[in-house]
Amino acid sequence: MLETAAYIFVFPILSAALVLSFIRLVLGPTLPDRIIALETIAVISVGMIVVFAIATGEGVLIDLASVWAVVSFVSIIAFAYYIERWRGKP
Amino acid sequence: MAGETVILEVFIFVLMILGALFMLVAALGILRMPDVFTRMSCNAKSVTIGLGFLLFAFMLHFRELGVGSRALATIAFIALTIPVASHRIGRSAYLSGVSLWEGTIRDELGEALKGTREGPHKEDAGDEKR
Amino acid sequence: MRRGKREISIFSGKGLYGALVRLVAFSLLWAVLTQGGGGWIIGVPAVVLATFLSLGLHAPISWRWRPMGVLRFIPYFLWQSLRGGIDVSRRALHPKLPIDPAVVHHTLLLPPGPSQVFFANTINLLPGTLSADLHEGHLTIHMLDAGLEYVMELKRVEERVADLFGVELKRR
Repeated sequence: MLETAAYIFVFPILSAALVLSFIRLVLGPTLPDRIIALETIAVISVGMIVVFAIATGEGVLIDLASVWAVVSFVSIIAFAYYIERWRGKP
Repeated sequence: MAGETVILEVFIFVLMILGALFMLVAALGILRMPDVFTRMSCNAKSVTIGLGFLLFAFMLHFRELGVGSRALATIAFIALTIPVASHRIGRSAYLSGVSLWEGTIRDELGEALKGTREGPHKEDAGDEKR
Repeated sequence: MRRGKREISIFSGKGLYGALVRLVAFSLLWAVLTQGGGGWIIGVPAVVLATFLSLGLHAPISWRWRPMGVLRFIPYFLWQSLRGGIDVSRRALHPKLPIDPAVVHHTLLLPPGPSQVFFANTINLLPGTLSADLHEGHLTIHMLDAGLEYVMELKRVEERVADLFGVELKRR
């Protein structure tokens, strides 16, 4: 029951969120805007992994979610370092 | 999972829906808000809360020590890193002079201090040519 | 974090103690990630390597939390972040987008050191605030709504953080 409910209700909401952040990623006038959109996409995909783990009953997928969270955090920090060298140019 | 009562299942479902909705709101927020800082303050909070709900639903669904402790570690990691990440982005965006929304009230003291301090620009001026 | 060097050098010292704390913390993390032990052939080198790397990247600073302070801080933090999330969601969903952003300047009452950094990171999850820059005890904050009584709100959070670290707030 939980599985169908996840597929019918939760995944469409998360997908809509992904699409909205992707629009910001494409539009985003400045580099920090795009990085924020990327961060949002990363966290939403972590959430999708967690929901998929609940729907399929595969508990080990939490490892994947935590590793993905770590990798996205490191990439965000690297991007922030990159903006400091970017000096306000678009 | 065997032995899961209907009430618990409904509760897990509600938690999942709430978490997904918070993420949708975060995405909507970064689409609607006018500048970098408003987008980020909208994003950081909603996304953390949303992922927290989803991982809590995960813990309730599995109810095992090994998997649950890892989910708890992930929650702690998220709650520690998202504020740090948004502080880093906000700081670098502020120092590199990203334009604020025209409705933003600015603080003169802060502007004056920002002018006097050594920004990243001067520090990085040395390795300009490569 | 190159720019934080000055603040850290004041609080360095107790090198062996800091290294030991990190070693224990990384071992605990490994135990959690591998479901209570197992794979220590890879785990021990990984933990030792992580300890050396973290010591090389970030000198040990006196980062002491009071146990009772942690117990008092966690429920407050969770409640406030839930409030922050709901507040931000309300603003993002409202058709008129009721925001009144402002960049304000706040002089911290907390003593310099890790508590200031912790405060700067904490307020990112609290309702309507985002720290933009921390420089010698002056914090630049972006407020989502300047109409909030922000000074009182920030003072309250500072008291909580001071309680967590067991430090005294400066008198104005």
